Amino acid sequence: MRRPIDRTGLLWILGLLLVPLGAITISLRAGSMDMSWAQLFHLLQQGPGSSVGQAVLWKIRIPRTLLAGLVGAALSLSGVTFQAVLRNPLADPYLLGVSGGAALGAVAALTIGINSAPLVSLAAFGGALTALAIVYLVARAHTCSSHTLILSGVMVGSVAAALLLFLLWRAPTEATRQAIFWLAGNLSLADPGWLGWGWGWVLVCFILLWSQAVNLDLLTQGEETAADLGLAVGRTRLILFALAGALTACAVALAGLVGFVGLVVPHICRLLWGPAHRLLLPLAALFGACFLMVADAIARSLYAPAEMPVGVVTALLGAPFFLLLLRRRGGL
Amino acid sequence: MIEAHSVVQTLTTIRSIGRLTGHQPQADALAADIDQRIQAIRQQIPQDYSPTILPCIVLQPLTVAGPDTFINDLIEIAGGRNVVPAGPARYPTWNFEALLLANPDFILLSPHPGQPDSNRFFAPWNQLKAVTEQHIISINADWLYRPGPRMILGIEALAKTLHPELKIDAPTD
Repeated sequence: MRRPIDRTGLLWILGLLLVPLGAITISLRAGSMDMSWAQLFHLLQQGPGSSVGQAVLWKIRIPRTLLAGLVGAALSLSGVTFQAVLRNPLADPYLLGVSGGAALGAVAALTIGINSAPLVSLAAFGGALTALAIVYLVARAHTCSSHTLILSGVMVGSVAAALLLFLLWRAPTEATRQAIFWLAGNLSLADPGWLGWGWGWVLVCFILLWSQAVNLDLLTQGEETAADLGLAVGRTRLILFALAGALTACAVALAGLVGFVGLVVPHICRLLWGPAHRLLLPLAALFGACFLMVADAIARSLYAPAEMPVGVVTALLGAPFFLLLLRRRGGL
Repeated sequence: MIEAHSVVQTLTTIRSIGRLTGHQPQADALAADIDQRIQAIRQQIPQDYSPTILPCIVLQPLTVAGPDTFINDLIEIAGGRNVVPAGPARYPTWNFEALLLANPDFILLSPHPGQPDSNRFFAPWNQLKAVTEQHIISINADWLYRPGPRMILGIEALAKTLHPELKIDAPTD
């Protein structure tokens, strides 16, 4: 029998509508230029145009908000998946060499003199997926334990980091500087033309991942239990890794290595809404998107007109919140 | 230790190096020549017009120079005003919103390998005065960012661009 929606349920639904709306408005209003509510609505009604206000809103802030949402959602989804499949609370989207691979791809492109943003993004994307494929093949991930997989990931990541240091050591200073910004995560470098593709990519990955929600639940019970319950563990793991890797690669290609979102947002969501993935996946995507939109709004308005690295804010905002939840709920 | 952060400090450094290496007359002459050329510019600069400038160090990500920098000193001597306010970073990262809001009269940069073409880079932002008036200026980095004798070339090149009516010879590369 279906349980009727009670008062708390209604409050949650209301919150789920209001939180994203709040995050979007915070993100749209934040920046060097003061924008009152009235101005914001007026500019939204006006549509894109050539005035400074219109340019700020439509050419800068809206793409930026969309990008932060996209990257936040992708990293959170990927974090949820990696943590569930590897059964390791420290797993994050960058654990299995994905970050190293992406960084290596991007920096390799930068050091050979490619400086068009789309090509650097593509190189990062390729690097991330290559690293994941290598980890998967080396660990014979169809049959190995999650420990073997993590260790292989860390090793491939180390090799990538070593090659990265080598490239940076040889590189001209300009490429190094650009690479450092890229490694710290930067939401201002993406080409707005790629936003549509990015959102499409994340949406498709999300739907596919969501269809695997029950399998994710099974895998968190341990591989043997999952196998006993009739799950084709190897095949499912491959599908899940491919999806999580694709999400991370997309986020990294567009914004570099934005830290902490993929680690802490899944934990916060699990503490708030429980471990069942049918609910956890969409909520983590939503919460991750809101979290990064707000963090980015703070990063670009705290010292405006200067912009802080967004990774500073994600960690400073996320870690205390997470610790508070941990204390109140008494453990994971 | 030799570390110059301003034009005056650089002149002092030139003199001390001359003294320490036994070339005091040459160093004094060099410093005096630079100082004289600076004074010549200072006297000719109109008091009622000082255009605003955004000094860009790197285009991608857009990194600019704040007030507490050597280049800021050069800009002020050349009769311009830096639009970058004081902040926690001497060379802060800006986004395009900050740039649109500051709307400087001139955008100053130096050609670097590995950086995008500056005209193409700023072209989409026709809200900027510097873009519509084609005031994106490029000056040799060695003249602008090295606290040494060549700084006078940077000052003269910059002053002549900001105030074309000045009676000085703009140096060429």
